[in-house]
Amino acid sequence: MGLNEPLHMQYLAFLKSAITGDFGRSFQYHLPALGLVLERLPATLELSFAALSVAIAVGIPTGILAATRRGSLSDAIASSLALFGQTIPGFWLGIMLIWIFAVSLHLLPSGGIGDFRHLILPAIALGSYSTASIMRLTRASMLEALGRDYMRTARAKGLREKAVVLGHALPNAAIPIVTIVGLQLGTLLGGAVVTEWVFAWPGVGRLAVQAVFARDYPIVQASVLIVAMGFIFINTALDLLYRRLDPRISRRAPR
Amino acid sequence: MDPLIALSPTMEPQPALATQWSVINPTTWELKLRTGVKFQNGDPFTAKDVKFNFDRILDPKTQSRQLSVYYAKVAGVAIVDDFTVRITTNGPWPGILAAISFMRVAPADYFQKVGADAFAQHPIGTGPYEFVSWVKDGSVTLKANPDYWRGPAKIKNVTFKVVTDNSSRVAQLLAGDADLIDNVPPSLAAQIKGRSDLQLGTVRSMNTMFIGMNSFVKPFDDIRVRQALNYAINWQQIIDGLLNGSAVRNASSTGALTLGYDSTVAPYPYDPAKARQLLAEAGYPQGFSTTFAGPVGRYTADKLVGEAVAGQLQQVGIRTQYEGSDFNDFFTKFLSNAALSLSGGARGKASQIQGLYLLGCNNAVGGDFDFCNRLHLSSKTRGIYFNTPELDAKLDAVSAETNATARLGLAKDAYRFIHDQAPWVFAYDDILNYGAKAGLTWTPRPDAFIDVYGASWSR
Repeated sequence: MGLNEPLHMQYLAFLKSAITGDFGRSFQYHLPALGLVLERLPATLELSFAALSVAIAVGIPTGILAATRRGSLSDAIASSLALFGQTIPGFWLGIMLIWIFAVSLHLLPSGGIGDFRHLILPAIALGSYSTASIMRLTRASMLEALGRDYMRTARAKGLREKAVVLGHALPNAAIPIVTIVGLQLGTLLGGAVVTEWVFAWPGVGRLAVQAVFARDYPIVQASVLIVAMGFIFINTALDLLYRRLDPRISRRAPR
Repeated sequence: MDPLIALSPTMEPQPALATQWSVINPTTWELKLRTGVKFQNGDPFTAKDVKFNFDRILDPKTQSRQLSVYYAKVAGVAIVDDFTVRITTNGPWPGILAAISFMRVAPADYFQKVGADAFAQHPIGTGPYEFVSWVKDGSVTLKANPDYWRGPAKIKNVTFKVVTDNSSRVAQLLAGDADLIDNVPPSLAAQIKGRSDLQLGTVRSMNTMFIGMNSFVKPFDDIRVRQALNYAINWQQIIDGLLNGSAVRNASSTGALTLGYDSTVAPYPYDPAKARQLLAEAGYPQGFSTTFAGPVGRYTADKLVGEAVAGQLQQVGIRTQYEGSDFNDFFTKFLSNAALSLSGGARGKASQIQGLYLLGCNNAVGGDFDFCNRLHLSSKTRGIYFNTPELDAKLDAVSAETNATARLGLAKDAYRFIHDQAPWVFAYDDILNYGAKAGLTWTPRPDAFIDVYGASWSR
């Protein structure tokens, strides 16, 4: 294993093999570590995207609503829900969802992977924090956009309120929202651990935790690298998306 | 897949793919194999398959992890005819039957044709269930083998699902998504008992917990101190209070189904006055301080038990605190420096564990009684914290004796000796709790295997 070599030599050796995808063999399973991580990646991706979908589908409309009805009861309710979403521990929420919807009401499966019904509860549990973050940021960003001069112009043009809000305010509020959505996806990829554990979801998070307990370094290295790569990829895609959203952001430096 | 020899729920060897066994000479066993058995791909089961399986495990290139545990004493396997094999051992080994019960026989031709990796993705055997599919870390699905030599199983489809979180697993049973779950924590067992459509199955496990002592370090070298610790702990209180009654007091160093276990040997009673008296006799009327190491999260309520024990020891003047750590860390400390010699306690004295430690041992190989003792001089993970030539002689005598009655007597004698020497504080055996739907009939096994073939639905 070359553990007697000086540290920088070990690091170079690790880099050399990592480039070719060789992270060594898992100590537990005696199979190539990268293969084991990649096998479970689709499950984690499925869960993360489902959670993000929940977060976007609930967070953005709620944020817009709270911003347009600022100070009203709906705003207060939405903001309180956001507070809960950011403070409730995922573990507790997961168990409670299982208890209420699976055990007591028999509406949804209590765990494991399968059809889309198995995805609902874990996606809600995993997505709660992201929903809250996205909602709060959408609200703040929309408030800022709604206060701008061009809003008065849009209304003066005689457009209906809905068109004004969605057509003019939202696109201008989009940049921070897109940023946080992208960041949340990265966080979801790496943070699905607790949710995967509680719902018995066979993903990378659960594999990585078990590997940590078993001191299975190849798997830990491979999973960390894969998740980090995912995060970087998402951020790069985000950067490219910015140009489409805001033509003012240009790759060329200002002259 | 089937073994050659199966273990009954009371860990007795029973014929499976081997129908008879006999000792030809002290180092050779002859097994007669069952005729007319087919693998699930149609290949016939013969002696060559048995030899292939043994050879593969014994081959150093295979790097079998089972080798040193179960097959260390096997020298080789020879084919006598299509349905007879002879196993030769290094030295007499009456424990061989229980040890080889762990081998599941794979088909030689098919295995060699597809290779080990492909076989692992889709195994084939002679057993009651056929492999259907495997979702890694998720589930394994099997269906009944219609041509099984004992007759097809009553339950046709089985799926084993991996659910690591205790609460989630219990929730699955309560929600009706699971028919049978294992490892129900004692604190959640009441919820299953409370429902009329569910049942709680219990069985005494083969996991024996104990508090070890480094007998090469003062004051544990004095037998009076070791016995004092045995009198100082109120185990019943711990069992009732921390384990919800899910444990059985055990006076022995190994499980109830192990050869030589003698239920007439009474456990040390809870007697703190006697403990203090023994300590005073040994020269510690004011007690002493010591360290107490152990794992956290490895055994049921291990941290709580450790802390409770520390508290009870304070009452007799032994000042200590439970320092729990991750099991891997703890066990590395426990093993000490493997390069040092066991004799004279060189390895024990050099260990980071200089006082007490909490540990359990699961003697799943019921017949080979020395597995859990951790006491014999020649073993690698045992004998670190206590070993004497006298005890080794007794253990060796048991290993060498092939006459069953004599062997039992020698084993009982060895256990009585261990009990009196008190190399550790004898504690309890866990009780395994299983939850299931009320309509399921099955027998829980102490070795934690789930026997689906013997199970059925009564509806």
